[in-house]
Amino acid sequence: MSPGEKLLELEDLRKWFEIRRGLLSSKTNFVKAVDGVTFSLEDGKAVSLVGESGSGKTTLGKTIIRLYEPNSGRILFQGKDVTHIKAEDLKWYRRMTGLVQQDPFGAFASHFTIFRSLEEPLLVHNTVKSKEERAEKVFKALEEVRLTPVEDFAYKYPHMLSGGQLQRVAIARAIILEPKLIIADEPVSMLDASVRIEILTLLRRLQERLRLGVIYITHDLATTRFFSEWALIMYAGHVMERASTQEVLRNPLHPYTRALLTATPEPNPENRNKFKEVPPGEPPALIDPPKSCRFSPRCPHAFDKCLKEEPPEFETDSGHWVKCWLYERAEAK
Amino acid sequence: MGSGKTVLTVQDLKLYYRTRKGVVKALEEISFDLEKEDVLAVVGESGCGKSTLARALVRVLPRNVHTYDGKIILDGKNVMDLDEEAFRREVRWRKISIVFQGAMNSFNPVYRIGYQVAEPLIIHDHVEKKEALNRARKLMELMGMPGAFAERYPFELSGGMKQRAAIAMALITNPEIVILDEPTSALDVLTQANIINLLKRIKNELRLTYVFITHDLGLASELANKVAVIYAGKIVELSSADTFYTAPKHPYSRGLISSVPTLRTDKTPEFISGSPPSLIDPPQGCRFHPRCRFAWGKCSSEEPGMFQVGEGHLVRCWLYGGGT
Repeated sequence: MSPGEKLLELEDLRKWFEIRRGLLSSKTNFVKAVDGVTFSLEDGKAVSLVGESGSGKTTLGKTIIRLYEPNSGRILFQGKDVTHIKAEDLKWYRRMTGLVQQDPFGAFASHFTIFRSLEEPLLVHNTVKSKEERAEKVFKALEEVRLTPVEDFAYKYPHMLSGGQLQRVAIARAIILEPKLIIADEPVSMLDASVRIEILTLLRRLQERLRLGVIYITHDLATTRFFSEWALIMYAGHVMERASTQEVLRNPLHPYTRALLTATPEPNPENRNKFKEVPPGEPPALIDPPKSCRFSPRCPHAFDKCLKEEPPEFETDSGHWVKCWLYERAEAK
Repeated sequence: MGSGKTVLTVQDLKLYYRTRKGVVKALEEISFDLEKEDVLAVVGESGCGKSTLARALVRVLPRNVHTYDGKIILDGKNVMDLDEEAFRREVRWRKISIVFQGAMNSFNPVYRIGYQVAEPLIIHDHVEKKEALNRARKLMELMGMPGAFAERYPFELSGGMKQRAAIAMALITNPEIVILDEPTSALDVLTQANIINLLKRIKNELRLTYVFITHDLGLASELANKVAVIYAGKIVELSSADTFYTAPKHPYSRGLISSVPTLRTDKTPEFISGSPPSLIDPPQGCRFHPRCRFAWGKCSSEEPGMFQVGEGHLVRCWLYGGGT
C-alpha cells in the first residue's frame, strides 16, 4: 500500500447485544453499544478512541478486529469488505490485526514461558515452519519491544515480570505475525505514570517504524495528543466528535468533549482554589438511550431540538465532524 | 488553608511486614505535620507504600506485621500508646476515618445504603437506630445524593453515588481527619471531577483535614496544599503544593512531574527508566540512586537524610545536603 491510502474504513457500524428479559419472554431488548460509527484510518496512522466506561469504545475496537460480528454497517480493510467474512478469510484477517488488552497480568497463560506465549500465534497460523525460524521471530519480537537481552526474558514465566514488562510482551505478541493494524485497548491504564509514557512511546515508535495502523482506546484525553493523529470522542455508543487530535484538543466543539477537557486533571497548584464546571449525572443506559442526542439530558447547552431529534454529524471544518445541533449552521459545505 | 493548629503529627513511623521471602520494609522514617484544614497529598508509584501509610494511620493492618512503631500524635496525645480496644473506641472513626480504595464496591449487597452509612454511629456512638438513619440521610443529602437513595441497595446506585455514600460513611461520626485512599480511582473523568468538587466543598463546610493518597499528580493538585512524595517506603520530598508543582527538587519528583502528559502545555512527557526496588532488600545508599540521572559517589553508599531546602520543604537527596 502506498502512504495515505485507507487501511481501515468503517461505514455506519453498529454492534447491538441482545438481552432477554426473563426465561420465557419473547421480547428481546438490545444494548446499543456501538450505534452508527463512521470513520477511516490511513495506513501507518494512529487514532484514539476516547470515552468513559460504557461508551462503547472497547466494543468498537473488538468489532473492528471482528471479535464481534457487527449487526449492520461495513468494515473495509485495505479496501476489502471484512464485515462478515468467515473461516479462512477471517483467519487471514486475524493475522493482519493484533490486540493488546488492558490487563497484562491476565493476558498470559501462567504455565507458559514468555517464549512459548510468543510462539503460540506462529503455531496457530503456521506461517513459519521450522523451529529455528520461529525462535528467530520470537527473539526479534522481544528485541522490538526492547526486552533485552532477549534470552533473559524468553524463558521466564509471566509472574517473574513487572506489569510494564508484561505489557511489552503483549505488544511483542501482537506484532509477531506482522499485522497492519493494532488495537491497543487501554494498554497503560493499569500501569504507573512513569511506565505509561514508556509503553506509549514504545508503541508509537513501533507504529512509525513498522507502518502500523493503531487504534488506541483510552479514557485519558491527555495521552492522545502524543500518540495519535486522529481522535474520536465516544459517548453512549455514538461518536460525538472526530477530527485530528490537535484539532479536538485545541478547538473542541461538542459540549461533551469540552466537559471531558475541563474535567481532566492537570498538575497545577492553583486547581485547589477552583471548582470545576462539569455536567452532573451519568451516561444513559444503552438499553433505552434517549432517542435524541444521547448527551442532551446532561448538556448545559441543550435546547428543544436536542431533546427531540438525534443530530447527524456536521462537518464544521475539513475533517472535523461533530454530532451536535449547535453546529447545524456552521457546516462548511 | 492550614489554620495553624496542628491536628496530626507523625514521627518516624515504621511498618515492616513479615513474608516468606523476608521482612518487607514497607514504611520507614515517615514524619510530617498536618494543620487543621490542610490537605496532604501522598503520591508515588504502586508499591511505594502509600496505601500502607493510609492503613498505618488508622491501624487497620494485616496479620503479618513485623514492626509497627513511631509516633502518631493526635491532639497532643501519642495514639500509638493506646491498646487495640482504646484505639477503636477513641480514635478510629471518631478522630480519624478513612475512605478505602474501592470502598464503593465494598458495600454489603443485602443491606440498604442508608443503614450502612449509619452503622458507625450505631456501633461507635450507640445512637438509636432511627436517629442514626436520620442523620445518615441528612449527610447523604449533603453529599449531593437524593435522600431517598438511603432506602436503596448498593446495586441500585451508580459508581459515583456509591462513592458519595462511602464518603458519607467516613464522615458520619464527625472526624477531624479523613484519609482518602484513591477515592476516585475507578470512576470516570466527569464523575471524578464531580467527586473532587464535593470533597472540596465539604472540606470547607465541615473544616476537614485530608490525607489524600493518589498516584495521579494532576488529581493531587486539585485538593492538596502539601505534598509528600513516597519512594520505596520513604518520603523523599515534603513540600507545600505551590513549591512542589513549580519547583520540585528531588530527581524522582521531577521525573514524576515530567511524566504527566498535559493537555494545556506543549511539553512532551518523559519517563523514568527502571523500576522501583524490592523492599525486602532495598539498595544501599539512596533507594532511588539506581534510576537517578544525577547520582554521584555518595549516593550509592550512604543514605541521605531529609535536608531542608526552604520553609517547610524537605528533600531526601545528597544534591541538597551534606555540605559540598
